[in-house]
Amino acid sequence: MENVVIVDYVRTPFTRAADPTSGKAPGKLAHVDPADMVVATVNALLERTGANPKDIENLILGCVHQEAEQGLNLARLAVLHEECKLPLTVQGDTVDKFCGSSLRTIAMAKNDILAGEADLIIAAGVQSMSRIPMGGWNLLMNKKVYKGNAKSFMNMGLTAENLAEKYGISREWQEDFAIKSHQKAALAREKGYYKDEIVPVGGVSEDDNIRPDTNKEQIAKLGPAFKESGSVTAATSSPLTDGAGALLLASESYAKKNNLPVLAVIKAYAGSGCAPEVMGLGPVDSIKKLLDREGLTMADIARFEVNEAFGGQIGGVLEEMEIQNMTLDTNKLNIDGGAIALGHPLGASGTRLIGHLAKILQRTGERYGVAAACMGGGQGGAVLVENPNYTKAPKPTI
Amino acid sequence: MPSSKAVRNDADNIQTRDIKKVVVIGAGIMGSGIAAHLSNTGIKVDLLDIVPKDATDRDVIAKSAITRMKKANPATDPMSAGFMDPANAKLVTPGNTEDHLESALKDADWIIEVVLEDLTIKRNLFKKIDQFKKPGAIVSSNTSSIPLKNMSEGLSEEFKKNFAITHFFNPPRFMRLLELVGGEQTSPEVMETLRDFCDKELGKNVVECKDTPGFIANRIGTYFLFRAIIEAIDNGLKIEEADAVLGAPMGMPKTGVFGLVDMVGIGLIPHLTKSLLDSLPKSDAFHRDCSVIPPIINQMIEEGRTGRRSGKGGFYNMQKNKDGSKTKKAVDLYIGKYRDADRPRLKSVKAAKKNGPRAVFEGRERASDYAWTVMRDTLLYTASLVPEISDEITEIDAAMREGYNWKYGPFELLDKIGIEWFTNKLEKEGRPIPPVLKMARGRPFYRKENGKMQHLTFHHGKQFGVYKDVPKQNGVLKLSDVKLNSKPILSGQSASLWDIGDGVVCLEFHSLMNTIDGSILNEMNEAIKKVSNSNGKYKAMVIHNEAPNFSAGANLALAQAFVKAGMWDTVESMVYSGQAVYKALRESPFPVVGAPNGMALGGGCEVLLHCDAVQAGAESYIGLVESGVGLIPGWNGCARYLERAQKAQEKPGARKGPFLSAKTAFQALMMPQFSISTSAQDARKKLWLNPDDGISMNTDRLLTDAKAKAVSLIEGYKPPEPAVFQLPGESGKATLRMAIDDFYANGSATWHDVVVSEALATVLTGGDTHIGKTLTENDIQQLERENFMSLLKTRQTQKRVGHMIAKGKPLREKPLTEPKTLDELRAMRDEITLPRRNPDGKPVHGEDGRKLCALSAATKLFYKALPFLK
Repeated sequence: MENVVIVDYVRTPFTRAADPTSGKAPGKLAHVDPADMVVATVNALLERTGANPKDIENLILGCVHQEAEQGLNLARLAVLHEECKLPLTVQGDTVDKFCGSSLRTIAMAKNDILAGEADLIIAAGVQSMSRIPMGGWNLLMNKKVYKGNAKSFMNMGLTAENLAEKYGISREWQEDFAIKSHQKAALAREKGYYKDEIVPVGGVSEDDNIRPDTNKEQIAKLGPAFKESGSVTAATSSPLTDGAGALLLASESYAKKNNLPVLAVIKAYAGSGCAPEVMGLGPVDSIKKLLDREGLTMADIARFEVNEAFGGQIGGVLEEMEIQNMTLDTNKLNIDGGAIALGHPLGASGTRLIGHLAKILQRTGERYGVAAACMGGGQGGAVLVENPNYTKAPKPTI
Repeated sequence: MPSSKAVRNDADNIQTRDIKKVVVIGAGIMGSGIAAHLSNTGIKVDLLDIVPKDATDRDVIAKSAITRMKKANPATDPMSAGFMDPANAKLVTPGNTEDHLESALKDADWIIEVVLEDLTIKRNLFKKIDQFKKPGAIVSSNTSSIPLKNMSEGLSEEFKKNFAITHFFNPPRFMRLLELVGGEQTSPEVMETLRDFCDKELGKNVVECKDTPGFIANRIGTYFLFRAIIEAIDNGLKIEEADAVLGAPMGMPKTGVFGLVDMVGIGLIPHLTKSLLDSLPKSDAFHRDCSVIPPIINQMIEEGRTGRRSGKGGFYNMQKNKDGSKTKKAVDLYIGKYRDADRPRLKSVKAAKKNGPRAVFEGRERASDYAWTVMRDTLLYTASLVPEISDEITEIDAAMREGYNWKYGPFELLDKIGIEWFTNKLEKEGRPIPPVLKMARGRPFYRKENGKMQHLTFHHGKQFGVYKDVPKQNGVLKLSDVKLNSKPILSGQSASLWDIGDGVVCLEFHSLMNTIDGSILNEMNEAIKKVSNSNGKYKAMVIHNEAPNFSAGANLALAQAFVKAGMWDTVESMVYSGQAVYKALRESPFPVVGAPNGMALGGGCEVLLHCDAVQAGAESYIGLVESGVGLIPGWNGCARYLERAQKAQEKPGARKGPFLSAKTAFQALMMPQFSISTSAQDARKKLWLNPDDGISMNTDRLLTDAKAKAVSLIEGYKPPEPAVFQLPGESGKATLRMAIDDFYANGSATWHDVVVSEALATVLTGGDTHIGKTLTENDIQQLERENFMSLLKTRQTQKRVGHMIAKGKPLREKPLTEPKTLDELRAMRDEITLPRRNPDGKPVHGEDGRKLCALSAATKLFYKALPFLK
């Protein structure tokens, strides 16, 4: 059977954004239009792999809040961009599945290739949270949707509060988790694990959310960010972030024929739905579905990259998985840090989760990894990645 | 209120100089406050201070002062809120006196010294200034105690010619008094420039003083405060009792003496008294009465309990309880410890409300004797200072009004008390009567003569004890002057119409707190008719009054009375009448200019939103605050604000979108705590004022400026077209619901906020509509009326209204004991459909007119019954 492989993965630096309506000092990538970010990653993929742009069928781009600079089918706009090295024959699809957008574009690319409708696809994601605020400039909600599910798009922070409350995730646990996320990310950066995936853009070449010196006393002073008596603070939430990421996906046969490198195999995707007010639990059902379908168990999976929307949300996922007898060993989870430390540019996060997971497996020599994310509106998605060059004895991780 | 301005007959002939750049040296509380206020006028200021020892940032003092002021909220921290708009901070350049003195001074037009009260330090600084300043640049000192002649000694003739004292009061933005002192050599041009600039640009009431210690306000004010404190200690009076009598009953700030000292800081007392004791001759009564600082004051200063800003309390202390509530504590003047504060119920205070300050002295309580002793000595001291500190009683009265926020100056207060009564009582006590009072005996200090206010003069020689006209500022028109010598064109219970000349009329509100009621609506309706039918005699209208606040909103007590009586038709008729009359005001065939000062809230704000233009006093606090009492604007406020939000989207670079105007309006109307303007400049940002609306820094000039604006609009005047609206309808409402759901979930909205916001969202999103449909003003008015009425019929809104009437602040619901779902909460309000009514932009007439007259009559009855309702 044909396999779909990741040829290469790149991303822009992830830098902190300020909501454009807040009047706060803008982030380091606020001056870079989202299309420019996409083009930077696409061009880098072509340069690094030497792939023939004419063979690329489609650019499938994940992006949330598709309006203003993110409107007008941004994927096609990127192809039309004067600096883009893709020919006009390359199509463009822009996909919105909230925080799972680029998780989904990778799955779609995989399916198109498996269906024989393409050999080479760029699956990408982008978000400029500096340019377009959460909810967009002109949020409007259908009244019947509201009536049916009033909590469809309640503030995401409040959904994290719901989980923290439901599973008794203490503020202290969340803070501890956040501090570790920063420490892991800082160490990974120090060891250069992020270096070769970052493409400089707009004069910026470094992530800027990671705060290795985050300490307990400092963040314990913060007030609740979303609820008067709540436990979720700014320090235990993933920060608003600008950034883009892109993966070049190919059929295994095309890659072999054209001497393209292989980073990993995209084995399978599973999605799931849940109540919007506990959207953070999304990964639980998705992972379960994915493993069941592939006939694997938790023990088979060496590494997990689960998006850290909030510390309280991750805590909820871990608790619920334990309840469902699929305990997730936190030593396997986000070993190079997660979104709380690196940032969460909504549409782009899926590319980082899967792309970096592939690199971790390469590094450790382990076989299977799962990337998963929760999504606003109550969904989850999970992708199974396999390292074709795995060695049976896993190498030490860090 | 008589004006304090001394007219200089030669003033017109004196050239004033341009002031475009100012340097303020000294970035303490006063210096930085002065710099901030200068920036409020749009001019550039350099703010310099010394370089502190071991400082890494050499400008740190000035920089941190600017940061502190930028952050300060005027409502909670008026002492620091120097900027009328935080953006003005960019006009203030921080620096230090070591690196920047020369460069800052070389192009400065005015240099203000606000450094330590130390003659040597000041003199050294003046020497440097003399060296670097450009010729003709004015230098002034903000000293409160050092004589001018001592400061300028040994400096160049050029310096002396350009040197004066400009004594600001704290906080410089809000306190209207400026004491101006010139020396023998100060040129008239310099005095006139300072007087003109401080009056017109800085909005100050400039009182020219003689070069005597403490000038006018602090000389009398310090004596009064000190005397009041000592007397309270000597007589074992509770501080609450002292504050109850020496507050509102005397027309003094409600804080009273001890509350006021807490506000300014107890630490200031020894400073103020010491500087006066050092410079006043031993024969001055200040030495007799104010020479010993009571031990308790020293003790409190040592313990750091120096007042509100100390964090440790002062005479009063708000102590936090474990459950989060607060208890007010008051110091016991004997032992210096805190005890629970009392709310003294004094008969004499109650009597004073009806019969004025004299009633306090006539009382038989301990506090009445106390009040008499303190006021007697203060007034006697004041009388003894004429003409030492000023030749004119008008200047002394103005200084105490503007510098200490007394409603009446000492001589006005004597008139209130009655000079005859006062002197008789002195005689009974066997006290000598000072010459000034002897002369005034049998007649008032102020009188109305031939339509003019006159005051007694005490110049020595022929003029001693002669009346002369209270002087006026050149070209300044005040409504109180118009009222002195004319009869109103129209007059009702709560409003009157005055002819202010040049074809312009002035509609004046004079109801309780200038709340809008049936009478005001009726007089407004009649005024529109009167001007429209005057055959060109009247061409424009100004809406203005001289009360501290333009209008506190609709008269809730009147509405509540109707609600209690179940007169729902009357309430609805009041809502409709307001909509119709306000619309007629806007669409009248003549220009209307609103001229507010102070608060213009709710229904008062809606008046302004219907004017063709507004000329606002600099301290205008404008907003639609109805949600605080569980209501929504009912007199077209929703339509008017939506219209402004729509227009704001037309500006180049502005964000656009179907939801934006509804969202902007929703935020402003649902969260008045953030949307009330904190100044007129801020009101422009928040859309309460249009970009073309004017701001008058000096409220004395407000009517003059507003009238000029009205006159300028007369030629070619066309009333504005009614607005049309494109609104998002149900999807917009669902989106606002989502936002409110989150606010409720996170605890920032109460359960009744959910109910209120539902009604507001319905109106602001246009009801059953969509973005492709065009709605008229009448559509919004209909929605507004229906949703207003539906809210007023909820029990909780009625509770909120009652709470506001009783306590003067909004009620915030506690969480429900039995939680309800959001749907259940929203179902607590019954939606109402009312018969469609379309006001036509003309004054109301016919049946509606008769109803309005009935409302006006009901208002009159309400005021008659008011004493019994309480």
